[in-house]
Amino acid sequence: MKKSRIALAAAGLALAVVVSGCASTAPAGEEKPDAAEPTVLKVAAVTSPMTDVVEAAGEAIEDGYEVELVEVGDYITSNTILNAGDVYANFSQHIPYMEAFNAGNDGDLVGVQPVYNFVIAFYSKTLDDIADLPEGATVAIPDDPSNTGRALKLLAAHDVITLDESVDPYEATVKDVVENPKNIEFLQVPIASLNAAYEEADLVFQWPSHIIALGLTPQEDGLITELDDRFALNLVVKQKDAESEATEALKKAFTSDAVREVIESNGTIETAW
Amino acid sequence: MSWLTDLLAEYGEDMAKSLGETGYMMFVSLLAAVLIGLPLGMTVYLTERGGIAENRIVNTIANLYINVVRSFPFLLLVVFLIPFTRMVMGTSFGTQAATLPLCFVAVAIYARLTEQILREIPPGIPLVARALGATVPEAVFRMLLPEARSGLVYALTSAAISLLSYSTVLGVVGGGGIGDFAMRYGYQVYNDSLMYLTIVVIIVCVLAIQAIGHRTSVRLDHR
Repeated sequence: MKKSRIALAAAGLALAVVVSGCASTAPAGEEKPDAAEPTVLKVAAVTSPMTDVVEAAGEAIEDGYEVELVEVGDYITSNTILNAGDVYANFSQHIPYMEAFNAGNDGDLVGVQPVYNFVIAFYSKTLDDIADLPEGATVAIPDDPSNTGRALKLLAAHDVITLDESVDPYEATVKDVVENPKNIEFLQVPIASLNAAYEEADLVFQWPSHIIALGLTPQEDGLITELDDRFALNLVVKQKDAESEATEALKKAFTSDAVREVIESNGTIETAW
Repeated sequence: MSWLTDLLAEYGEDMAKSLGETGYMMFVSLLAAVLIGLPLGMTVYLTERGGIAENRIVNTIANLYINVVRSFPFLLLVVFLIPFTRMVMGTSFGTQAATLPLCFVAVAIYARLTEQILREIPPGIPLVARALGATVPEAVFRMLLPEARSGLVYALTSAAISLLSYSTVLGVVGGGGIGDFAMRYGYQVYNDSLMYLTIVVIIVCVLAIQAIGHRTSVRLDHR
């Protein structure tokens, strides 16, 4: 009985705090009625460091605009909601990924500002040199199309495999491997599973933002690496907004010192402007 | 219908391969459900308070296993088990390795369903059996299982359909299967017609499992 009374009192107190909190903020807003409502720009992103960049851009954006970060669960969704007009922009992808979305969905998304580049690499727990790759080695690569092509292209560039010349290497799949002298076997898993594959495969492709969780960086630990501007992470908006004032403000915010600081402190990515 | 023949000509072989992977994963996990899940569910039923082999410790442990496994979001169970799978199977990737987490959940699901079916049996039946001098194994094999067999088959049908659904996320460890096929060849590359065609194939599989299970269950129902 006594306990429930204390609980009731606590609940009442909590309620009072909430109500008074609301009451004290309401007049604060009314004090400057002449200040124009800022235009809120919703920007979708999936995960760090992309979300960190959006937040930094939000701090840096010029007066009259406000950035609202919309966190979504997967990369396709970030495009679906942008294409439908539910958000103003997104920051989740490179241009080839966006083009694949446009082609498959009658989308009209455009990249307006490359923001950062990252070095992708193959890593190995057992090897120090790609030349030591054993016969019949297991090589783990991503299972989505644009990253599959990228991983295969990197292997081909180092003569581990040869790709069918009639195929755009960026769109290559495992079926386009025409020569495989070491008979390597490909294990295709989602990017999020590649870190686990590092423990047992001979060679693993991974993005720097994920491999850092294992304490590895492409610069220090990558057996073969690649930095390709084509895959710079881009700020993406709809075609009709490509040259609007709001987009200009966003571009400025995404290339601000605040964003540069986030990128430089990350250690796995490099500014792309 | 030329779009259909075109799709099948291009992807038919890959789709058949993925159906084979799903078939493998379901066969092994259903085997685990029957060989381990059924006895486990029976154990829970027999050892609970007032049961004919009351045993609080065994009952608590069995219940704990079932509840913990069923609490995990399945995708996270798969990821959580990666080190264990690697220890047991030598690898945590590929269809065979992916089947291990599916077996864990198959055992838990079917154990719980088995317990539920057994609870439907009038409680007097096992007690009378014991009073007449039947041992616990005799009560199980002569009274409980024959009484429950129709329900157990029907519950296995339901478990099979759940496992088909669970198996669709095993692409995360390279397990393949028809659900992974729908994701990779359909959803991820915006090939919607292939994605929907694959879903239709999965629906047909579910209808077939349901029909077979229902018929078998009716035939076994001696009441």
